[in-house]
Amino acid sequence: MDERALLPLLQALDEKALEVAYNTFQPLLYRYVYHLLGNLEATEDVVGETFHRLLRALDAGHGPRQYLQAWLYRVAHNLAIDYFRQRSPESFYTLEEDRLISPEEPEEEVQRRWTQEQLHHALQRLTPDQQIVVVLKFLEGLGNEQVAEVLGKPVGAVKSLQHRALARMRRMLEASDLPLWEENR
Amino acid sequence: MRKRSAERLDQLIEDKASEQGRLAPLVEVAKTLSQQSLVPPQPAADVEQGRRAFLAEAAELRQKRAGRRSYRSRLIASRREQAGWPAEQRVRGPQLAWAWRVAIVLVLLLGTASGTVVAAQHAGPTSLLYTVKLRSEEVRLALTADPRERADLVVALCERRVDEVAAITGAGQAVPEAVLVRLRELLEKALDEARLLPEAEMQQELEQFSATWQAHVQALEVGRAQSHDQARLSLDRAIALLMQADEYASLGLVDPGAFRQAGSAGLPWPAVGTPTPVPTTRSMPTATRTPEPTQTERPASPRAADTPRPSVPITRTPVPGSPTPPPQPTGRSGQTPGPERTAPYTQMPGPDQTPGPGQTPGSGQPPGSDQTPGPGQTPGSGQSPHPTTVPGPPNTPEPTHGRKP
Repeated sequence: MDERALLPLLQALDEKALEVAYNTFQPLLYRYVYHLLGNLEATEDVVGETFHRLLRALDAGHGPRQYLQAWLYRVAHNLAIDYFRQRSPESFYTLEEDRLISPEEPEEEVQRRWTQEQLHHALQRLTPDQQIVVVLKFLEGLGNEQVAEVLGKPVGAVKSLQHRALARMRRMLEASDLPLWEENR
Repeated sequence: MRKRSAERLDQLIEDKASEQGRLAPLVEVAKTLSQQSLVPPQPAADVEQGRRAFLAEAAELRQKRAGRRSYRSRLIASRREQAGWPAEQRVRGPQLAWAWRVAIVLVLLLGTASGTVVAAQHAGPTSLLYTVKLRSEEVRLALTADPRERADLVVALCERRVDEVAAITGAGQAVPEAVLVRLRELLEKALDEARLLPEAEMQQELEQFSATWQAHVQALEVGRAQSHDQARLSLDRAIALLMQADEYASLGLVDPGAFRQAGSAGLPWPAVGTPTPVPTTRSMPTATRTPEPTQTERPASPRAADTPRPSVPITRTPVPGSPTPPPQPTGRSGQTPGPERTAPYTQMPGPDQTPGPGQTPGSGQPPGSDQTPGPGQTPGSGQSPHPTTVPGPPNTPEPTHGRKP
């Protein structure tokens, strides 16, 4: 359903519209927040709070006016940043219990997961705006215009952020022993 | 999606062949990112639980919203829907409702405030609204820009205070000190405003002030004659204040320069916290003296020691820089002042201070005044530092000064 058609129904707290919105955007937000936090429990908390804020805003007559997706991403991002600030950095980007490397795992899988961890660390060291651009554009597949809506910035600024973010990540990955990077170099 | 974004970057590099070398590593990073599946799948149970919680909260909000919506707003909403207004306009309903609420609250606040101020104008000092009344007066004063209008307004406010004093004492009650303090402040302010005016206008204003305040004093004295105890003391204080103000106004008429220089800040005023009885009959301040026992040949009667004096005479403190009162001719004590004003800061005798038989004024007059000694008197005899003003018989014995013959 088109966002603009959905918004008036959401303002009226229409049950069907709310369910559609949740089903559509919850997975997107989950992936996005997980990219930022790298922690399953924290991600679920932030996503739940994001939808709770959406309901409160709709009830108060505020909330998104034109772009629901951009609004949700922005709120989720702010909450993730707050969440991150409230807790020690060590609690993030740790391997989940069920993802610990076992001796039986094939070497390729180990290598893949090691790459993921390195990318997580590199992503984490970007600025918040750079993180948004990288995650939304390269991991979630959004276009520059959509990213610009989320950030509330012009498309040119998004392109500039993207360039700086990738350059920084490149430097960080070069400094690491990431095999994948070595192969591509 | 991810593939598309990577293709976009590739396209960019192809378009800008010169930058290919510089951008190629970035493309590799982007490709790496897009190829990596970094996010573990969320457990389906968690997703379902989150959805249920979200929808339950939404249902709760719907119920609350329905409860909040009044009959009127429901009516309006239904009419909007009947009119077929577009959905976007309906969405603005809550915003308009807030605007209306704010507007209604503002109107109510303004209405209440205005009503309170209007009601307070008739409030007495014992009323809770009296403070509002005083504040509204201050606002009126602050909003009056013209000095002359402001001076007139201050005098009008003085009149209000006098009316309050009359009303309270008429009921046999003591006047709250705050009213008298306010009266004194207003009198001071009236004189201050007059000081700001040009010479001619200042004279006009002071004349008007003086006339008004004399009228107030007369009015209060009428009430004083019929009052008792606390009410009388309050009236005495108010009268003393008005008389003092009148005296300062007189100074401005006699010596405008000294009046301007003096300023009200340093001028003494009768205390409002301590009862200060005043003479029952008012007379204008004159350069007269308190009567003293005469130094006549008559034997000093026991009454000589009980010379009638004001019970508590109003203390007149000279204004700094004010002119010295000129010596008064003999026998003018208690006279009503003539058209020309006399300088202030003299003690004012009451009616019971009129020199009686065998009494002459002269107390307090400095030795060596230009009064002519009477026949048979030896000027500067040393017996009397105060020359007698009443001529005695040729063989007047020495003044007894209270001694029995």
